[in-house]
Amino acid sequence: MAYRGNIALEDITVDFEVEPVDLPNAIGFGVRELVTLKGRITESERVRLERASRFCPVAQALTKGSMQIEDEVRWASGEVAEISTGLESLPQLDGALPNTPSGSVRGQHLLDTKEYDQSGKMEREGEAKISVSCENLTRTSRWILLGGHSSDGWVPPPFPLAHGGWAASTASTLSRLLPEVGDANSLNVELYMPAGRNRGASQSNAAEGIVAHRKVLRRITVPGSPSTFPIETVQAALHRDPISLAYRNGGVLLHDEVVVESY
Amino acid sequence: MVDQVQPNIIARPVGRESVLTVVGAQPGSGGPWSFVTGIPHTGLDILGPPSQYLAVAAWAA
Repeated sequence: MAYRGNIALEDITVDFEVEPVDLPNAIGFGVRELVTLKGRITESERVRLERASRFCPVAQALTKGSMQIEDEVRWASGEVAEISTGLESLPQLDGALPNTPSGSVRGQHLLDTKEYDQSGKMEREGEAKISVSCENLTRTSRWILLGGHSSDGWVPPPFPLAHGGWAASTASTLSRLLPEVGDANSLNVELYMPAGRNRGASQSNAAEGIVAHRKVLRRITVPGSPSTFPIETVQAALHRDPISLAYRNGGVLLHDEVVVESY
Repeated sequence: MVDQVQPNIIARPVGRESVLTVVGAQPGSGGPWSFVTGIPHTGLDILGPPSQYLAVAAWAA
């Protein structure tokens, strides 16, 4: 947003501390966000950028519950059913989800990946290097990811990448809470999304603090039939999935702060 | 809601400790991009970041 809004932002880093949150019926994790802006930025510009940070599409999904989710279950036997939103008669599941390990995520904009047209107008914001670190069983483990906006498609855009995390979270949760489903080696989670909005509209919404609700179809394929894996059991598992809870209700953000480092 | 044949994103477990996810699986878009995420386990190191971290990484991007 800064680069499109003519704000003299020279660099930006985003740091998240990820921590487990052990409360009944909670998402299971929370984040503390620190955005560091570098450049000659006025207080009003800092406030604009802070709002944009809070209302980017991924932040909206995780903190404001902006996703409108349709769920469909398909069994190997051929039956198909949509999941209703009612919670009245869901069974209690015995399984437990693993605790979210503590760690950190740091995003750093790769300034020289910005793309411009022939007139010098910026076309794409470029890419970010994301360093992920979290506690593991025998060590602290680290991974590097790339994400952002590039015309050649080298890296995934942020919103699809977030949905990748959601799909993975769904598969993880179902395999842990319904071990018979995971053991059958036929659990599959698919996401279908309408054609993407243009990034300019998303950034305008972010700049103005507008929550944009977005639809997505989640199709879950499980083994057996409705008699062996009742839809209520699948639904009960989905209602404990961390990212699904965040996508419906928000609540991931524990604290956020935007600071400016001037030269 | 959607008539497209191929999904945008696919995820499936690999064993009991990992999930393989493909982002951008549909034709005509960028990608595909594949990721391995880990399911924390009391007996093994995870091989990829937990799925929550993938979502937060997207936020950072």
